Amino acid sequence: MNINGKFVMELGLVRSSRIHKVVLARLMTCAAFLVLIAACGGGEPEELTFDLEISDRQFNIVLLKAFHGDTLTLIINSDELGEVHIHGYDYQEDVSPGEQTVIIFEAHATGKFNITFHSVSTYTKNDGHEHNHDDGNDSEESEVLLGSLEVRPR
Amino acid sequence: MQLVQVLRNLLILIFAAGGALAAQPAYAHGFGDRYDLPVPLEYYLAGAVATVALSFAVIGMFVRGAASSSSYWRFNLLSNPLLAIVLQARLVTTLIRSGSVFLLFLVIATSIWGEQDPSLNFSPTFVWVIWWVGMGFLVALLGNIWALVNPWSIIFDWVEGLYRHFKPIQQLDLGLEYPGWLGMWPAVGLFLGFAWLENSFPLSSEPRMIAVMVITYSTVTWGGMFFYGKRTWLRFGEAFSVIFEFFGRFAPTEFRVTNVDYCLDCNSYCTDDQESCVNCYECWSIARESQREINLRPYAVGLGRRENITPDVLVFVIIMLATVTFDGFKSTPIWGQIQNWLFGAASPLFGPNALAAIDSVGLLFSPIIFMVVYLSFAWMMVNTSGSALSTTDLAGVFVYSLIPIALAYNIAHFFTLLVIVGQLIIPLASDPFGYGWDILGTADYKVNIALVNAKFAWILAVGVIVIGHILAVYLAHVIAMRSIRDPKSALRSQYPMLALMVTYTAISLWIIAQPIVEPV
Repeated sequence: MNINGKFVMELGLVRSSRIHKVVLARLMTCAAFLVLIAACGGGEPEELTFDLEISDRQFNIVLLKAFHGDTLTLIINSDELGEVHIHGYDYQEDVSPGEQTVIIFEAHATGKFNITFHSVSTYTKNDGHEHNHDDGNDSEESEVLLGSLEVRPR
Repeated sequence: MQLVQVLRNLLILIFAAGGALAAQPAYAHGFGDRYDLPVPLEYYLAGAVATVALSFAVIGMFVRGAASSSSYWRFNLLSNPLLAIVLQARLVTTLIRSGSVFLLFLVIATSIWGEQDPSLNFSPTFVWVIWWVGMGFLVALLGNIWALVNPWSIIFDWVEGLYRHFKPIQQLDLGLEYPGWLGMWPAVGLFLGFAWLENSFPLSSEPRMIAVMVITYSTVTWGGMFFYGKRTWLRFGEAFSVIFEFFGRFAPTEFRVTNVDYCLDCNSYCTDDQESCVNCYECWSIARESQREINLRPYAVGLGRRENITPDVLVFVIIMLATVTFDGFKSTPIWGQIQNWLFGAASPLFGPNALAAIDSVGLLFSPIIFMVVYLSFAWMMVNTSGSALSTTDLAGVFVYSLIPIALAYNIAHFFTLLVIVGQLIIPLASDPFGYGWDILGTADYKVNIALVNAKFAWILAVGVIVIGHILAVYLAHVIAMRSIRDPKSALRSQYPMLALMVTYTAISLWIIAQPIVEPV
């Protein structure tokens, strides 16, 4: 507060044309700051592979990091029968013990996307039928957060 | 302890009413999933630097004595003959109003008879994302269209029209005298309840809960209109008319009647500088054509209008500011820690609803904290300026100037949600009940999560928050120049205000730079 007061008192003494310059200089500094930030990043898309283990309904890697445009290969081994769901991208793949599940996709959207596990009892595999949520509560409860995928902009 | 017991029983009652007492700590899934990345440190710092530097720039302008006048630039859209026809066309407004009524009934019908999974039902996405978030954006950025589309008001008009068909010249309402001491308190209470449902009630996106909420609110609203008259209830009791009226003051459009006689006729709350009235939609609709204006104006100037602000209005605005901030704060890691600390104490009392109970306490406490902080700053302002006003009067005079910061934060906070999650309304429009219909052929639409790049969202968020701050500082100065006549005292009053605004803006920036923690 003191500093503010001092600054303003100084301003009060100088002529208005100088204030214009001071104000302008400050505005330009800010603008330069923002441009600098916008120019950050860059780099070419890469291919990334994640070896994922689900044991006890937990991932061995909690945060999967990627950049916009990378091609991701998720190799998933699970100790339990169920389904892995990548939110947002909305990939749902079955997993089962002794079998490897591979999901390959391009990280075309930025953001943080949860990856969850649905145990097999919670969804019925009737083809074409969405889960019936009418009797619902147990299915809500057994969605478990495995980790998340973070796709940052370049 | 007594209070805790009462609160606890009350909560249990509410949860039991929702049939939710069974262990279900989970928040609704697949609905309102947020994909935002936190704003990186550089953006946060750049925003903070710009906030402080531009604050000085604004003060600098005022030291020169600029912009102390309270009149502002306006352009009357009705002066263009084509626009005048389009904007005043009966057909257009009737269509829009009928659409709004249809949507209210669709929400009620889908929430009762539709699939109960929130992601398969029209009502949660429509109410929480499209209407609540979207209407807030639209009103603040464009103009108060809520006054035009408010379905409760429209239906009341229709019913009254029908009633007059049989009993001409009679009022539908009982015309009871509204108790003056009650002021805007009904709207304060209803809004607080709504904010609690939005932020702390775990079942708020369950369709059946939405049915209960909408039907209850409709009953209260029509009841209020029936007892006290529509206009009175819209001003004092209908929480959304009140809140969107505040948002609408920020908007770059206004409805103005240039003959003050009309304004005195319908109500006296909207007169502007003694010669016209602003945003009295009732007066506007009965005014002679030559005395009507639909004006473009700069953003935020509507918040600088001279008027007497009573404690109920002050409390309403503070609750609004606090709940908007709490909405973001409750998904930060710090709130997660607070939940962890309190969980031990809350768990034996509230069992599976402990987290919701902690959130409820946070939601109720945040307006109290805001009020205490704001009043202490108002007290400092009284002292630095030597103003003859009391602390609470001064707090009332300046409270609208804080609204741009809250609106800017609201936009920064919800932009991605509205644009990404809001797309869910496209498939839901084709299958509102979740029965597998495809009325419009859009049932298979998949949400495009790549529509907004995170970098764009970051720049927008920081930019909007900084602009909101500048407008707030500017407004506070205009108000100071007007209400504290002596320029030097007015300027001195603004140091505490500036410190408060910089802090408030810094908190907004800090929240959007936090990783979002959501219970899954």
